Amino acid sequence: MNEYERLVRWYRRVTWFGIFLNLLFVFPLVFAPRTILKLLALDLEPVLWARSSGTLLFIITAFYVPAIFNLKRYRANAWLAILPSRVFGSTFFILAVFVFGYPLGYLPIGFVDLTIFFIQLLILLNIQRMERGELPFKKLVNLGAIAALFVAMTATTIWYTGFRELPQRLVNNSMEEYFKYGSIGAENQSGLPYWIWLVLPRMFPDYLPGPGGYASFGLPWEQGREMPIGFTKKTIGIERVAFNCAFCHVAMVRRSADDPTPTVYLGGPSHTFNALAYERFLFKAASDPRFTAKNIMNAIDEVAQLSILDKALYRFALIPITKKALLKQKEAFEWTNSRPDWGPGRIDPFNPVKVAILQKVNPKGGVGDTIGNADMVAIWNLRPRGGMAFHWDGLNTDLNEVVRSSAIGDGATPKSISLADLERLQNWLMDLKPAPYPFLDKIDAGLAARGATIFKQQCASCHAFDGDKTGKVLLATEAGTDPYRAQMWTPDAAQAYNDYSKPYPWRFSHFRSTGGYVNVPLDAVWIRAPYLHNGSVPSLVDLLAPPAERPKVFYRGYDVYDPQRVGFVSSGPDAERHGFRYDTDRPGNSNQGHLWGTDLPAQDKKALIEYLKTL
Amino acid sequence: MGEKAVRTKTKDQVLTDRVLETPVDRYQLKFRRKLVIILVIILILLWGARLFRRFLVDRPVDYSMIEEHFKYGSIGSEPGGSLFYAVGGLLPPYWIFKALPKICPDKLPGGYASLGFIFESGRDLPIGVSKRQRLGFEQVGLNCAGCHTGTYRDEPNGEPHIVLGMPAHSLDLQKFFSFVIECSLDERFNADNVIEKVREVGGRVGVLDRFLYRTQLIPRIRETTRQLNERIQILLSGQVPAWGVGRVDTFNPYKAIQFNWDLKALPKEQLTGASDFPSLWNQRPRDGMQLHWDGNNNSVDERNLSAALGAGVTPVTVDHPRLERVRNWIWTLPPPKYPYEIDPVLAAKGRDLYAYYCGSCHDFDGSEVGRVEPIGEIATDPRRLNSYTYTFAANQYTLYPDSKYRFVHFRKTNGYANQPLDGVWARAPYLHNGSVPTLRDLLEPPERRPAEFFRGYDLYDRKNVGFVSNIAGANGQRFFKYDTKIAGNENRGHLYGTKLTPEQKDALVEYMKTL
Repeated sequence: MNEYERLVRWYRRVTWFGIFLNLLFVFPLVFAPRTILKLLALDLEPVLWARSSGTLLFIITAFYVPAIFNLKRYRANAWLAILPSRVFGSTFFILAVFVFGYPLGYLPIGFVDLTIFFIQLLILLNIQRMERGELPFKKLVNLGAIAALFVAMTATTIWYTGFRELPQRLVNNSMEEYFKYGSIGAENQSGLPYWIWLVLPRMFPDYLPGPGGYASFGLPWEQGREMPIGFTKKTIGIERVAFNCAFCHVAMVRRSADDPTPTVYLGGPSHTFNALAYERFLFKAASDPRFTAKNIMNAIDEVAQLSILDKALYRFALIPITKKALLKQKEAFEWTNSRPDWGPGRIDPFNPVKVAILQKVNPKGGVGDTIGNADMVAIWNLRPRGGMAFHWDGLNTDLNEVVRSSAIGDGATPKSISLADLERLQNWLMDLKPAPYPFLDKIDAGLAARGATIFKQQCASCHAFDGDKTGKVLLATEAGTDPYRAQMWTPDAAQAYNDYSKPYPWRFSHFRSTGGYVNVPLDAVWIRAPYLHNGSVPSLVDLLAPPAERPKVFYRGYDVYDPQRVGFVSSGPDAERHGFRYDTDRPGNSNQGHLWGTDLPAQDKKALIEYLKTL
Repeated sequence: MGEKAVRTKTKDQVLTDRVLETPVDRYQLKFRRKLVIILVIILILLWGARLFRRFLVDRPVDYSMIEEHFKYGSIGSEPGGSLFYAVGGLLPPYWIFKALPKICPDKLPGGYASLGFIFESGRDLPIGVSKRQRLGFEQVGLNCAGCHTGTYRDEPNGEPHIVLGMPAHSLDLQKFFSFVIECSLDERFNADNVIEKVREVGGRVGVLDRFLYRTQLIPRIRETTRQLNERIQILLSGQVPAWGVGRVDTFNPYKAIQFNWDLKALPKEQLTGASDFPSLWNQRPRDGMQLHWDGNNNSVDERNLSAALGAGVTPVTVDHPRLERVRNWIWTLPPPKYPYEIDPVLAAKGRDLYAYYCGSCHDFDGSEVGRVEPIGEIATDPRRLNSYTYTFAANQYTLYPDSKYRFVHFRKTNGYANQPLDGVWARAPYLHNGSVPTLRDLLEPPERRPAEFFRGYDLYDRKNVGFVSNIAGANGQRFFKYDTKIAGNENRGHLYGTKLTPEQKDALVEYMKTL
């Protein structure tokens, strides 16, 4: 058999195969349209159109047949099969998916057409060359071209399902919305595939703090939102869920136990949210033998109809990858197991950075025996804080660096970090108003006025915005408060962070180790309970009591406010049920120190507290 | 020469040539062979198509009359999903469902009718149970009519009148679920016995079916029931006050079934949420009002979809078009007219009282209707309110994920919603927890309302407006003894009108018959 006949034979085979593939769509589309549409998760009602597409495809396919039997005589058919038919089909569906955002289910149709088109074209070109008396392309060229096609299709699929980044669609363009649900670039590294994220609490309720899904971590959840405040959903290949600043910087408060819905204060400290419990939930789930592709797919099947392609993607790629990534992350959090729990409203913000980032610069660095547990902070009203030191220990004085390093702490990578968005956010936070005291109508104005005088004498130099020591670091020894947090950020760590960032345009240079704590301004101090950097004192009344009289054990994380003591309700059955048992004897939890005001007469304390409510 | 020839010897040792195959023979042989192959292929295809039809088809039994669709049509609550992993549905397939009372006769001696299900003559399934081919079997599921169709009768020996959209005040849903779960987990629920009982009730179990029953269906039902039981057992095993007839704890099974909450970890007071089935008529003017007893949702469509979850649909198996048919019908379904005589003079007197005392909260154009009355004001039993929490609402927003149906209207409230009173005569017993048997009793101060009474009898009490509630049993049926001292059953609160004179109260009640 000569080369020419061989090519014709190949042409036949490929065309037959193409017809077979077409029929694979034709028959289901005509006879069981709903089944195939469901399988590919395509929405096409009424199904008359699916049937009609199937029939049309059948008719088109019929025109391929003559060229199979006599390629010479029906050469026009052969070209028509390629040129409008297959070319159009592949272009149409590939553009539909890649350019116009139609579901992945249309892609197989496009790829079938593309493959057949490409091979048919190649064979026909070879045939035409031989008919003109030229030699056909070399075998290597032919096979190489086909291989290149498959590589290209595979690569596009991988890019599409793993890397294609779509802009987030938020409900509106306000900064509030962006702060609550907008991406800060953490999805690339720490984004969980949406469907896995969604079903995990249903699969592993035993690892949650209590009944209630993700809400049980103490997260504020606005009416009608698909995820709590602080969670972001962004498509990078697939929809991924990560978090942003609001994760730790939104406070929720109920005025009383009868208050049906908490009021949410953006920029306030998330005193109810247990960040470590959330991380551990994910780790425990990933370590559990029930975390299998089959179980997770079953759980997803209960709530959504994914296309067979998405299912394959989840089953064979995303679930194993997620499991691996979470287990790796679990290892990186291993050090938390040998230290007191953060509990709700607290975080050890920089020890994770030491493990995740700084060990790359300084392999011997690590966490050591440091404990950095400290309260999440309010991040509003930044303009008057210009020039002050940030973080409890004042480890940085440059707001840009503080914002960017926090985003990196949240999982943004040097590449994915959205600098422009962060800048917008920072500008917004500059003038974000602190939360007004919810019981302002009950303030005793006379008492508060007297308190203002006391504040001026006793507190203002360290805590008023214009105080000469405000925003400056006070040595831990001088403050007398728990020293762990100040000791956590060592000079080595500061140096390592500055070094790490050198290659990037946004490099850090202001990280430092202080050995003390910053005198913070007290705007909206009422909502910043529990008090001191480690949240060891539940209320202002307790803070003005001598350390020996401050509660040794209390419960934090309950969102009902106690206007008498000025702080959140921290004892009693409700607080115990919702809260975390805080033991001031554990390392890093000491409630000693900050003796200022503890020796005031009772009347003065009362007046001072009345005034503090108004800040 | 292509034909084959064989040279053989005859008996007489004479050599003969015999041509065995002519070209015609060969052609015919080839043709026959092809024919056989083609026939076999056609047979295989036909058989495949039949299997395909049986196992992949999703075909509800449809009714052209909307009333029939409401009573017997599917909303998708039958088990669905894929053959590999069935999701949704609370009931076993049709034949097993029919055989269940025979499999566990001791658990349900009176059959489904004894649970308060309404059977119409000529029907083998009660109102509220739909039929649909899914996953290779005829399946059954619950629909809206199960909890929202009621009866009343004029005389103790009279025939019951069926009213569509009326609360199913005689239905014991809790006992029904207990029965289905217990029987499905009973040792008598094994392949041999089930097949035998299915045949007894008239089901055909072929060879393939027998194989499937044994290897697939029954193990699967047992496993899904075991999981379901694990989740909601605390609600069915007497650890919370009985729901009784005409009531359902809407949100606690929901917490466990939809979200797999560990109910045991919830405070007991949040597990007592039983309240009356509401009426379904006249939904259009209700859209935008605070719906559900505690007013936690103001969208009729979302409320419908949420209630459908309770019937056993899932975001995957729900049948939106058929649910919408029901929705469009109840949108304008008129409330039933009071079927007995009304004293026009007395009613006219009552009209003024009603306008003065009740209208602002209960008239469709009242200023407070459809709004939530704080619990401190209304002062009725707070358990139902407390069973619905902020955290639960948060979880509901993840239902029907990534679709236009995702829930967005739910919210935690702090009281009970003021209901419009259309067709109120058919909505007894009264208050959200059905703790007051008649309208006349509701106008008495709590201490004079019946402390104990019986629910479930459908004999109408024309004097007090409600159902006869002082009889423990009739027509072979035992009624549910309702004790108002039990948590969740309290009959306190709603003191409006309790200070009127007896004559005024009679007039008011007479007028309310006309609503």
